[in-house]
Amino acid sequence: MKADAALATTPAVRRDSPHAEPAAATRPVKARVERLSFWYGSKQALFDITMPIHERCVTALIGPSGCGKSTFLRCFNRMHDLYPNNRYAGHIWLEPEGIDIISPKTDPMVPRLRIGMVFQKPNPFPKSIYENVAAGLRIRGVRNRAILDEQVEKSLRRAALWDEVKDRLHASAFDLSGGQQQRLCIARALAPEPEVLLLDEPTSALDPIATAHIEELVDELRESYTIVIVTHNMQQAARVSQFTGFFHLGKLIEFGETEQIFTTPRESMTQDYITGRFG
Amino acid sequence: MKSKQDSDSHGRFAPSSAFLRRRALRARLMHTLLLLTGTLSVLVTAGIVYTLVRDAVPFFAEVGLLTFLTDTQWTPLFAQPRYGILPLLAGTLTTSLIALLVAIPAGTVLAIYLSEFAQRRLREVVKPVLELLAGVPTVVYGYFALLVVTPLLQRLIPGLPGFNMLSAGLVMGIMILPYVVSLAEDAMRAVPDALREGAYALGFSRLQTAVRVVIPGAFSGLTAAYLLGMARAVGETMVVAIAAGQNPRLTFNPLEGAATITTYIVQVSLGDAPYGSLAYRSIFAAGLTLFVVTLLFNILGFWLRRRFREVY
Amino acid sequence: MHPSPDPLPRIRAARRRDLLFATAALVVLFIASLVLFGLILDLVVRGAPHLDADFFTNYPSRRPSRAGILPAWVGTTLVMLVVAVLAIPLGVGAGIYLEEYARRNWLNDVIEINITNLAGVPSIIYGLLALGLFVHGVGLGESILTAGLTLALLILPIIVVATREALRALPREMREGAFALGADRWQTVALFLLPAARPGILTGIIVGLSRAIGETAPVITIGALTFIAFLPPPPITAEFPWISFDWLWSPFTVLPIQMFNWTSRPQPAFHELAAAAGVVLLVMTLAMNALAIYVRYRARRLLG
Repeated sequence: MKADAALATTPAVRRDSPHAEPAAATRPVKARVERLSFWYGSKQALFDITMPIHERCVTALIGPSGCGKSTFLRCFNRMHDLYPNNRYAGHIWLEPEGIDIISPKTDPMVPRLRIGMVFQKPNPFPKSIYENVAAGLRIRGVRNRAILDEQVEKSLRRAALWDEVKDRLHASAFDLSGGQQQRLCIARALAPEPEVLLLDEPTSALDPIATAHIEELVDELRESYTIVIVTHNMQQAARVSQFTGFFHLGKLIEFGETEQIFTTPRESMTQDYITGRFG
Repeated sequence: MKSKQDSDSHGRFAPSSAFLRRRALRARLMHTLLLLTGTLSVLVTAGIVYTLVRDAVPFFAEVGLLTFLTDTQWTPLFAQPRYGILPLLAGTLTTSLIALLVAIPAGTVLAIYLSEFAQRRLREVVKPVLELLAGVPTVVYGYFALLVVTPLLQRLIPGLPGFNMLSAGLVMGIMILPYVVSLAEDAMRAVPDALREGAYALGFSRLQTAVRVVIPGAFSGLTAAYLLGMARAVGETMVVAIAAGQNPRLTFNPLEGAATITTYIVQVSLGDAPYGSLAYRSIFAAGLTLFVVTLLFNILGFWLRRRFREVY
Repeated sequence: MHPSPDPLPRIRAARRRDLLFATAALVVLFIASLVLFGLILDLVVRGAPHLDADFFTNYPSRRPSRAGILPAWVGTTLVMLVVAVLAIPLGVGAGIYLEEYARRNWLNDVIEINITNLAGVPSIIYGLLALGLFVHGVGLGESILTAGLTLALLILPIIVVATREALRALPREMREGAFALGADRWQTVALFLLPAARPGILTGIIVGLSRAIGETAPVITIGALTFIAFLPPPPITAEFPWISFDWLWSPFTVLPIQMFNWTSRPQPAFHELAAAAGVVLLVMTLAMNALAIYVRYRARRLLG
């Protein structure tokens, strides 16, 4: 509470994670996380996190499991609101309007309608491939068949799945392989054309070939979407992202351009993690 | 591929504020409607208690609660009516106990077998059949008791009257058997495999494991199964109304016929006791007694079952 | 293969007891099935000769040879129509509320405990509720509407519990997926959860309805006539507006009451009619239960 009042206007620079804005960050900022803390009941899971999310860039969140990176990601679309006794503090400003996503005054629907998400395990609905992709549009009240058809095709093409499923759009989504299901979930998230795409370890349940598919895809999608990706795989973070945040025990240890984080980390803990000394 | 320049305008599908308002309104409306359907169940219970008490209270005022609970005669339709619930309770208790004497041993044995011995294939056949049997209408069981089982019993026991509690109780036992097996098997399956493995590692046989580990582990769950079976038997109407006779008689002899609480309610309903008369009110007093008794069994049963679930 | 060493006598004894118990259990299973199927067979053998077209188109009669179940099956059909219209939306709605909407508070705790207890209330108590409240209290009389209301309330817990269990079985990832796409709670329920939970809910509905078809005691209590020689007014009429709801207020009888009535007569000829009515009743309820089991079985296979 006091943090709210004191820091609403002051850009935070924290002593334990001295990260200045990277010089090469010429892109405008899509979202600004400011002194974000989060509690599951009485257990604090995130501590005072401040970082920018750059527009049309891939921001990777890395760190050992249990470090809070997924918890952090799920703040952006208020997923934690689905369960009782969860509590946020601080701000996530969604630009350009400067809406505070986690303010209790903000309807969680507002960020969810503008921010898409892909989960760790592919979770298609038990419906046809077509209806899975069209789901987000139907939720937004789109009924026009032509628009739905067009958007389903476009999204499936973007998710690099169209050629594999175009002849069986009305087959069950469960008939697809794991990698295909995950691309279907990406197409589902893309169809309503969100401003930000959250990817929560999207390849952790997939084989290497499917993983490569998805990584290529993320690289292409960057041109039109702001992407935040949680990954436990450092190579993946290095391959697909422009910015990287390193989390440990619910704290953001270091944030910066991916190249800098992986070549010249400022924090010894980051160095240790990246070189595989723990985690 | 990468050169493909995208010219998307984000927010093309951003819903209009009018749509969002409509959606929020619909969501609120549905929430309210669903809450109402949820509360309806509470109203049903309130309605049950209210209707029973409303007519039972003037009945007790006239008859006296003490007389009701201690008089040994129940003759409300006679010229000199007596209102002691004991004969009806005796009938209810006798038939229910006979039913449990069938259902508890057979149910427990079958449950042990299904849970500890049977192959998955057999279990997958037996469980649906049990469910199927639970769907047989009770009036059909009543028919069995009166017209099939009683004549059979009369051959074995000469002088057995046409209406007797033995036949009704036996058939009721078969009737609640699927229910008891199902609940008891659930209770035993809920005992963690780790306990069984421990017993097998000690060299116990299957039966020893079942008797020394699974049954004690599932004890409260099993008790709950028996209690819920008892509640079923106590509240059962058609079998006893058809086969056990309609004479309220203070007896525990299964070879005699005697009315139960439920039989009495049916008997009065079939006649025409004028609305508001003492006879009319007496069925609400009897109903209230039945409600309280079954509620006790049920609450105890569900409480044990819940406690049992919490253990594992 | 090594020649297996002779097991210790104690182990051998234990094995023998295992075998003995398994045999005993199978004997119990066999006897129980034999008794049941024997009873059912007896019913079919006695009832089958009466199951001709006349049996379904005749009114009950004092002469067994002319008696039929026309008003009984028409009554059952109309009562079940009322039951379905009331119990399905109310039961599914309450199930959705408790599983998807209710947060933990005292009201929801009360609702929850209450539904568990309602499931154990003897059916005849519902009959007394109907007698006191619907027949005399509200003045609906001894009508099809009263019977439908009563049986709907009776099977409500079955449908509520089935709906809850079907919804609870859905993975939480499905809910998260829907909310992340921007769905509100109702959209999540209506567009995604309900279609996925349909087999489980359907199973509960069918089991509940079949229970209502066979229920006798509460219908006796509200005073269903056991001898009626007329049909309720038809729901479809010749003149505008072509649909009539007069039948809702009509006296009626249902199949189980008809069977009860014939069973209670002293003459053996009526017992055969009772058996025939029993066969009809049994076929209806068993078919519905079998359908319910099949629906669930198929859904389980589809979902792996």
